[in-house]
Amino acid sequence: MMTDDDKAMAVLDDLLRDAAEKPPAPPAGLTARVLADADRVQPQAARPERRLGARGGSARWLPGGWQGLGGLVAATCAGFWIGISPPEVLPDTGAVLFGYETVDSSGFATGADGFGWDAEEG
Amino acid sequence: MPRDALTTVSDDALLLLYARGDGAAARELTGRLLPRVWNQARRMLGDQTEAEDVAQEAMMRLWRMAPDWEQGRAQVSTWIFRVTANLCTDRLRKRRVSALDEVDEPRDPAPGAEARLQMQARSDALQAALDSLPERQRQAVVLRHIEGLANPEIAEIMEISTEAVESLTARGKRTLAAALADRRAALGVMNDDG
Repeated sequence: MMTDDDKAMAVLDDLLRDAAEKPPAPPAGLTARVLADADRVQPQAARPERRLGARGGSARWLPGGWQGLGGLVAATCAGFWIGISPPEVLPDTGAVLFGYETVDSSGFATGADGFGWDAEEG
Repeated sequence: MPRDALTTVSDDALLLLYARGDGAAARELTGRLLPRVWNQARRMLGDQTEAEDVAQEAMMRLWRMAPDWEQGRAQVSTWIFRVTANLCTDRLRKRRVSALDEVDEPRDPAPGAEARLQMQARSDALQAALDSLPERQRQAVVLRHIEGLANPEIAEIMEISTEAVESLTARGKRTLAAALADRRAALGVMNDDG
């Protein structure tokens, strides 16, 4: 015959079994908040497709990225400037092409003479 | 990766996928862990709103820890049960434990709703009895008998020995049974025949 303690324990086991086997689902609002948190703190470094916006997309395939592109533009500008306004020691290629100047090739030889190489050799 | 393809993936691997930017991994982990975490907090705290806050905070700590998780170090579920237990402990220390007598008596049921109300009354009675337990006994009973964890895993969560877990759950059950016996009339399920 069951004692009162036995009966109480049997009822408790019954209640615990119910609680374990039929847990209620978490509220939908809680699930939504948890998923929003997960999205908000997801590591950024692992999500390049979200980090790069429309502006960043076109440069990511260039060697060196934006920095590489900047260097290329600077070198192009410098080359263009040297082309239209060359230093005095260089021939003006544009003027030569259009016939405003001629290249005095003898000047190079004369310059070489200036070092005195011809004198050393006799 | 589609969520269906993740159902057989371990919690460990899901956490790694999440840390690498897989949103579906977060949904799968939430589906697995949130119901258990929320239920644990609900049974520990006896308060729906506080349980939601604790569950959300525990899951947030999981997301933040994901990049640093060492594969195979521990079970993800064990880790989050421990976080939840600690969060519940913090909350319980800030408020007094609800008294068993504060639970409403079951109301006269409307026709057709009797079974549902009876089930609610049983759940409330169990919660009230749980609320009357000392905190450590409650933790052990909830993890063992409601979450269905094995004693070694509970020992890891509570950072005590397996023997201590056995002692806590045994004492907890005796106290629970006594508390429920006091409410036999309200429960309506502890008649002499049953």
